[in-house]
Amino acid sequence: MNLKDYPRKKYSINQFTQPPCYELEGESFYFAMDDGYDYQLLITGKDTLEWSIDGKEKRTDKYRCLKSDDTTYLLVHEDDGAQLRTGYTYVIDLEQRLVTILTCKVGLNPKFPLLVTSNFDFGAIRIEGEELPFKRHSFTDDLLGTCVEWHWGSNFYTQHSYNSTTFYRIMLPKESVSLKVLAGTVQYTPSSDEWARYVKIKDNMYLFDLTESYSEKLTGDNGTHRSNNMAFLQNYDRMYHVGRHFGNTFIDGKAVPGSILFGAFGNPVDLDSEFVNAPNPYIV
Amino acid sequence: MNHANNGAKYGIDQYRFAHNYDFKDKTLAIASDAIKHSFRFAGKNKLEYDAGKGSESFDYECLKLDVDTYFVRFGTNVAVFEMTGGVGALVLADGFVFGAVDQAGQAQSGAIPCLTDEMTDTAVTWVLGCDKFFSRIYAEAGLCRAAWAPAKADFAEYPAKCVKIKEGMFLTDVTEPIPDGSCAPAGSDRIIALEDYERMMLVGCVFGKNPPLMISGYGEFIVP
Repeated sequence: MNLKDYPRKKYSINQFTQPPCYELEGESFYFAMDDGYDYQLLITGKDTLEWSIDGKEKRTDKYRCLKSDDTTYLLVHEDDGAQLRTGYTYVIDLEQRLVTILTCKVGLNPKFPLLVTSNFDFGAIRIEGEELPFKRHSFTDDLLGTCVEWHWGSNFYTQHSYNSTTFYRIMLPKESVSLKVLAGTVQYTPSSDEWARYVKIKDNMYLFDLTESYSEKLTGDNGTHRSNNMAFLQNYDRMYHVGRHFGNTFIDGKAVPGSILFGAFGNPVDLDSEFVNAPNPYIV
Repeated sequence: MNHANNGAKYGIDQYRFAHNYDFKDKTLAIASDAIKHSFRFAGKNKLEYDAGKGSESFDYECLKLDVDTYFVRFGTNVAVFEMTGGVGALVLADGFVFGAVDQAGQAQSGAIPCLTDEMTDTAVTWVLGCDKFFSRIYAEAGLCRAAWAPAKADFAEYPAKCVKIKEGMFLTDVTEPIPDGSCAPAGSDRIIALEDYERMMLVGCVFGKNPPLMISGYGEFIVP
């Protein structure tokens, strides 16, 4: 048979997600964090872990893990016991013994209860008998000027412009399924700019993080999804990323909490300079 | 600085996934008829292979293609472990071996892999990096037509063996002297690849005069 006709599932941004990684099973980590609250993780199984902050109450949660290179992991879990929905994303960098923790919460904004708020903290991995590394992952402007096309699935691709240290801009090409999927949201916003942050993990590897806050504020119930935070661990040596989304999606008219893993293959792209240089309507 | 690049640093292994170490320090076997093919994974890149004639040591590389399916190259041999169904396939110098994965506490539930012509009529391009791709048309059982970038339309016919690993996933072994001037290293002449038609992704290895080169990529259907 022509396998084009294979009865595959329907995918969105998750078709090209790289396979999960189980190799951290049995490992334990002590993350010494710069904000003063240290984390301990014990990976108890392929998808279960025990974790605690500052040695307090140990909690058990499900986790998922992807790799961006041979020694760099993106590990995510939610805190099932939290009052407000809380998601943790760790970039565990075994090469440099460094860690970045991105904490996301839903429900902190009284006007926009579905808006995801996020916070970064940087730290190092403590190993008994060894000094803590001095360096840290850090916010960066290295990616300024980068234009990249990300292929998320069959005929589903988007084009990103990183032209600010606090925003990003996205193009949904007419030929891509992405326009059809996201058209319901983009029609309500004056531009595709959204808040973003850029963290350097190592040479040619960055954690790119965005929150769909303008689309949440301006689109509300009219869109196809609600505020999402998306964290992309981008490998510019290999030109791919692995990542996770954390937020809400509309299913049968209701906002349903969700968090999916995703991934994409990249290539350079020439973007229209008018698009890249257009003023950002959200800033003075 | 624009960090997006054409992957010149890597060539056709640009999109290769990170190595997978799920099997580190584990022992597995593929049991076929009377022969048990045992693998003792000693760390992240060495394994001991034993098919009843004494243990041999190999360097290995492992790439994962889906939740529980692994492609392991050891020397110029390949093993595929499909752990959900508990089945496996081996591509050795003297041919294929199919069997059940011998693993403690888990019974085989999947069908044993076998040679298949199910891929006939499939036409696909596998993108391995920026402007690095190859196309395959599985025109009839045992044969495929293949072309490598940049010569998109320059198809030639080669013998192809296709093995069904599970629904939507196939292991292909194609002996094809890849033309010089294509995106693959000169002297490459055999590609063993695990192709996932559910997610349209691939992992595999290119063999030839150069050291084996592990690859990953994504697929797009083409009109032959």
